[in-house]
Amino acid sequence: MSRVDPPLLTGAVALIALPLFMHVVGLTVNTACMAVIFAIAALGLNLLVGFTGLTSFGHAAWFGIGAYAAAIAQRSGFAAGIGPPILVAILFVAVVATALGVIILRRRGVYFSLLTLALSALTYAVAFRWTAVTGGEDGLGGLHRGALGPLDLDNALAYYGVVALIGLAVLYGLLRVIRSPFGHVLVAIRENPLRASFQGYPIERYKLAVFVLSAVVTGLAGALSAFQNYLVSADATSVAYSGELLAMVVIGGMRHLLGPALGALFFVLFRELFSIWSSNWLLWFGLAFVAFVMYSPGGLIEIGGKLRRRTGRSRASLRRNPGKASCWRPSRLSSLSAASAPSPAPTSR
Amino acid sequence: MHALFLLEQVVNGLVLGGYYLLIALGLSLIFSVGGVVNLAHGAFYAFGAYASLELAKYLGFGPAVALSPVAVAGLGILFERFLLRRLYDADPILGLLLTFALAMVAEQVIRLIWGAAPLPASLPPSFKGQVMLGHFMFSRYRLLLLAVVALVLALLWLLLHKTSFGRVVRAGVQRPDMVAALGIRLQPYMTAIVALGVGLAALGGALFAPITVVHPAMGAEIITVAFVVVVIGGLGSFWGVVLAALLVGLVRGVTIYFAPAAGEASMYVLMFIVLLLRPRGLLGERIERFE
Repeated sequence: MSRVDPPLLTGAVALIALPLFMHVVGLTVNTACMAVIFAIAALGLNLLVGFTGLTSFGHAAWFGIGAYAAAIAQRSGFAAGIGPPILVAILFVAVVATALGVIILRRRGVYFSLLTLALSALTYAVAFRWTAVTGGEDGLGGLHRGALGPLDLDNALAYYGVVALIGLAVLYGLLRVIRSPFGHVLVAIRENPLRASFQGYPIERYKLAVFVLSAVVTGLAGALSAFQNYLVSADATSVAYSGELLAMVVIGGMRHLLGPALGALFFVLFRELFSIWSSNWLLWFGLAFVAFVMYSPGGLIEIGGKLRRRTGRSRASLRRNPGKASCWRPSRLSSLSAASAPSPAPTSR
Repeated sequence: MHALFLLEQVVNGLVLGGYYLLIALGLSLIFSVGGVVNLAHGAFYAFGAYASLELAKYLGFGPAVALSPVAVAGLGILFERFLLRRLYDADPILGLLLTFALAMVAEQVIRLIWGAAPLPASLPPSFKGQVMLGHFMFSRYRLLLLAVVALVLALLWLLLHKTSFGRVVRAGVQRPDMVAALGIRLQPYMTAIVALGVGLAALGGALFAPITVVHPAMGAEIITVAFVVVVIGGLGSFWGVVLAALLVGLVRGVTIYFAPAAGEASMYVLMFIVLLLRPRGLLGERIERFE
């Protein structure tokens, strides 16, 4: 057998096992499909958050724009089936993300996050109010999946197969991207933008490229969700949903390629299983989110890694592996009385 | 007649701006002193509205509006003491994530206590009625709101610019290390600023409860608007936030007059235009720490 990438192999095995697993815990193939769609969206978001260090609080905007673009393309008869509308959605998201990225990327750090938050709120306001185009409160319904050769896509399992293959292709693509010189420049920008620019990299152009790529991947997930639900509603582009996507990334683990996918699965399982017991599952999910941010910003993947180290190595090496720098440097979480500590933004020097 | 109606929308826009102002000022203060973007700020606004409704059952409208910000400010002190304090020297994004998650939890807590349905908030009869000013007719309560907001604004300005407390706070925004070197601990000031900011948001919630809808998602709705105001106005600038709040209210009011559906979208468009022309906001200063 030829050598297969570990993340790709893990992804493929997980995608095959997922419907079976869902069946065992009493959930449907449709739930499995939503989990994969969320995973694609979260992978796209993580390209910005985890690899480039740009925390987008408004990625639902791209999810929603992708979904609406696909739905409008199909309903207007401009593109038939599911393939062409998805391509239209990808192109449309790429164009919009390029235009808005130029504006939004003018600001860094916290301002960038606030601008993306506002973007999500803007798309929600437009989707909710511009009834003539987006259907307003009712959303856009009446979508159809059609068939792919002999395969009837209205069959849940068949559609899952398509979504899973697309998910695997996205995973492969992202793997190639982050291992390319381009991907390494992104990490350099995250770690020290000033130094990256001194190396001669046009970091603004790199940021724009990764912004567009990230938006396109999330938009693709949005288009897939439109056909999954046969419906697009404004909720797909809300700020709340943006936050949920970000929660998936953080809970899963943003410093690992597959972390966000794990987070998406966690989110779906949490939602489906908790809502059986309690009507306000979001309260518990929110508390879990708080706990992860405060005590394990590296997410589930890092917890898994710690457990493995604990069983595998001696106690002396239990201390944080210096090679794998923790992303938030929790040691800096000291009080304001230590305000004489170095200012939090090394980039301003 | 059209011009008259437009003018009414302008006044309504100003009231709307005053409403944004109460929330945005606290947000901007906490942001500029602590470096934490408090995405949970909207939750305190919602708590303020709910607390005033609850208190009004026993005390009547006036005392409830006065007391609810005090109660919520107490909550704010706990919030600062146990959560926010850990974040001052951390990556600002961590603060965003944590407060976002807290806002999520707070909204669910409100649903748990008061239910998901909007609550009716009625105005006591003594505040109802209209006032004729020349040829114009205004709701008495809205004029009262404008007056209260103006009063709060004046008091806050005096506090920040004419007292020793304000001097330390303003110095802390620009050079926290220098303030620490002079032997002043910023910690208690930060607690006070958070209590103040959160109390202002609660006051906004309590004051505007009778003319808006009191529902669990009200905090999430207001928070993005408040950020738009802060971003347009420019961080660390008192008058920038004031100007931006009135501008946003005005643009929204006038847009609603011409195209009702575009009211909400208009302020975001305004924000993107302002940012294209002035990346630091209308009156934003350069604050080394946040660049």
